[in-house]
Amino acid sequence: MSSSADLLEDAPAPDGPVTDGTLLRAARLGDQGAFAQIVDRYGPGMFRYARSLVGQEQDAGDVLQEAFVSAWKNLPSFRGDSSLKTWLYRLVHRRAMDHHRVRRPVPVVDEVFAEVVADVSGDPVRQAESRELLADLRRALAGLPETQRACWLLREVEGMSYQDIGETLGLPVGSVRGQLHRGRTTLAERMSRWR
Amino acid sequence: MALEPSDPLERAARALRQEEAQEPRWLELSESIMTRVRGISWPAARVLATDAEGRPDRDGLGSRTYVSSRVVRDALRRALTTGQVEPKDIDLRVVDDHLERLDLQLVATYAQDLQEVGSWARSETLRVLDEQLGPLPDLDPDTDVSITITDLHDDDARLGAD
Repeated sequence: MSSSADLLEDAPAPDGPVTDGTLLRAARLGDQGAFAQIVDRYGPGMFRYARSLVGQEQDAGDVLQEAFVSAWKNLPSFRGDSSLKTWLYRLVHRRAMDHHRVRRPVPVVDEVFAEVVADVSGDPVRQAESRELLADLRRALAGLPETQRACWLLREVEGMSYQDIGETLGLPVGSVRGQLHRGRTTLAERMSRWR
Repeated sequence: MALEPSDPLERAARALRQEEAQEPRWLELSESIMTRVRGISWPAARVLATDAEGRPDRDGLGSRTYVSSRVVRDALRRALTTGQVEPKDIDLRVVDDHLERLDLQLVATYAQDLQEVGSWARSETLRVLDEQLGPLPDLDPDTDVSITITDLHDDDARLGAD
């Protein structure tokens, strides 16, 4: 009969994706490789969120770096009261708000909006239309109050539940619903020329 | 009210969802983040290593050998991470450079004999401590090494719900 040690050590490597919990446990114990996987898992979405909040790609990169450095420093005390994703987005949101407080708003230029577009059809007319649609959305978002903008982005782009948005932004769920409703209404009005 | 998929706002939101940082930019960013992370050290204590007889390990000039608690913890994490068991917390109590106590919390999968898991974890832990620090006469493996299985998963620990 094999010993428990054999059973444990010979266990086949799992094929599925590593869960957040496993990565978190390893990272909390100082595993930088696990933390790098967390960065790769959530970083692109957090970067997109930061860029939508602060406008400029360079600034969003700075915000993202500060958020992840803060995450690494605070991992040992993170007890998992919220999900890993919610915690990370809370950090990036706070850093973006700090950024707003210390810097004057920078005029947004259309070139920033035109970097990457979703339309990969190869049709130049459709691509141009997609760029313009996205640029209009960015302008409309820039005109929303911060909380409405954050609620809309977390819900419609990052796919968070109301509960998770509330935890990320420190708002009651009812308030999230209200902010989201107002944000949607305003954005729909400002995007109506595309109907 | 739910927006129709043909709604321009929904189309724009979809475009934004599909927007990703361009690959070279993201690689540069993630590397920059990890470079900064690697430069940040967590608090650690030095632990006195011993020779084969359990005496403070000294080199030819009489210097003592110390090992960072971070190194010990990392070795324990690696040794105790399998497809079915993972450490959740590894707490080393170091007093005056001596390891006085070790508290381990583990996560394991269901359908295992937990006593066997605990027994395996204990023997692995003692092996790692011996490997890293040498024999520790002040550490009683029965009373000073605590191993607790704090959580269970339905499936493989890597695949279980979190």
